[in-house]
Amino acid sequence: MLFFSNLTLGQDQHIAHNNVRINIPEVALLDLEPVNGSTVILSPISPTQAGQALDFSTSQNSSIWLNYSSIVSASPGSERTITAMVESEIPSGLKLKLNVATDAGNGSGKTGTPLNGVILSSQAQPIINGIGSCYTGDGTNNGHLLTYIMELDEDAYGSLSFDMSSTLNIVYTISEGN
Amino acid sequence: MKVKHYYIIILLACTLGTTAQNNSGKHRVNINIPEVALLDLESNGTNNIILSPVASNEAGAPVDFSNSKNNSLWINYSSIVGSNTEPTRNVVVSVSQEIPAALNLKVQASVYSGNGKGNMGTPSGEVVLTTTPKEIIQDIGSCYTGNGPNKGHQLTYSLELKDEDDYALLDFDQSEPLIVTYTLTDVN
Repeated sequence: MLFFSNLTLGQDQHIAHNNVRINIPEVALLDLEPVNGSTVILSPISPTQAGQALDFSTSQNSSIWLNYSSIVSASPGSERTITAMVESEIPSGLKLKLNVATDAGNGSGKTGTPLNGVILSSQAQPIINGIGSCYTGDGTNNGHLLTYIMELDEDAYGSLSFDMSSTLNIVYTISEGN
Repeated sequence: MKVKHYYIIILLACTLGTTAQNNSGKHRVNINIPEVALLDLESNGTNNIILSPVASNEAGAPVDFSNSKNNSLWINYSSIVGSNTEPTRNVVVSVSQEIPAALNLKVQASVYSGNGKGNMGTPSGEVVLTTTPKEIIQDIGSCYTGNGPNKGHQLTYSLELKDEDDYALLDFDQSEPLIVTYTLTDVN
């Protein structure tokens, strides 16, 4: 009886199996990392000599890094896009342009391709596309450095107004669920 | 075994929840447009001008004021106004002391000329200078005229006898320098 039992146990071990299901979670995470907690301030330089214009040539800021983590499916068209939009109106006469640097390369996987020179508006526009499964690394100096450039619209000098100094919210979104 | 199964499901739900909350981020951008109000006078030489009637060579003739004019000075300005609080500016002009009794010192600004941009001012016409500031250019918005002579508004000064009957009031002791002051101001 005892021997038989052992034989039965041996047979059970031979045919036993358990299901191992591997779950890869969908991931779409995005974060903005300011250098030293800095606030982005864009301001033209006042002239010092009567007759001169406001100087917009240094109205730039490169102090925000864009980090993301993404796991996409293998199906075609599943790559993600990051869009940017402004939550309020940009002061009349001004253009807010965004340049996105290539990924700093501290993560791994298929990071996205930046689009440069996008003029931001209240409509979401793609700024990085072709994001596959990847991560950029977390924090400043990882991911894509964002450069804001404030420019004057052509022939719009007369519409400038010091009353228009304002705070804008810039919103970045990584697409999900393609 | 059943308990473990539920545990895994809950964990996945948490993971998905976190993903949904962090697929976007935002930050602030402060845009500052500074207030600007700068004015300057420019010429190809000195900003000191001389106005003098021409003395006659012929006994019995009056001194001649017809060429007592000068147009060597230009007004340059830079202005950024506030559309709500200070929508336009003017230029006013005054003189430091009374003009000799028999004379009028007049000045007129030309229409804008140059390579600046924006909403330039409009000349107010000929101004008889007094110690009280008077408007010479009006409705200046956000603009810049360019810097230097031949940019902005050219100023034409003329010295005139008020009236032929005032000839007796002319007095060569009244030759003296005057200071003419231009100020870019707000309407209010």
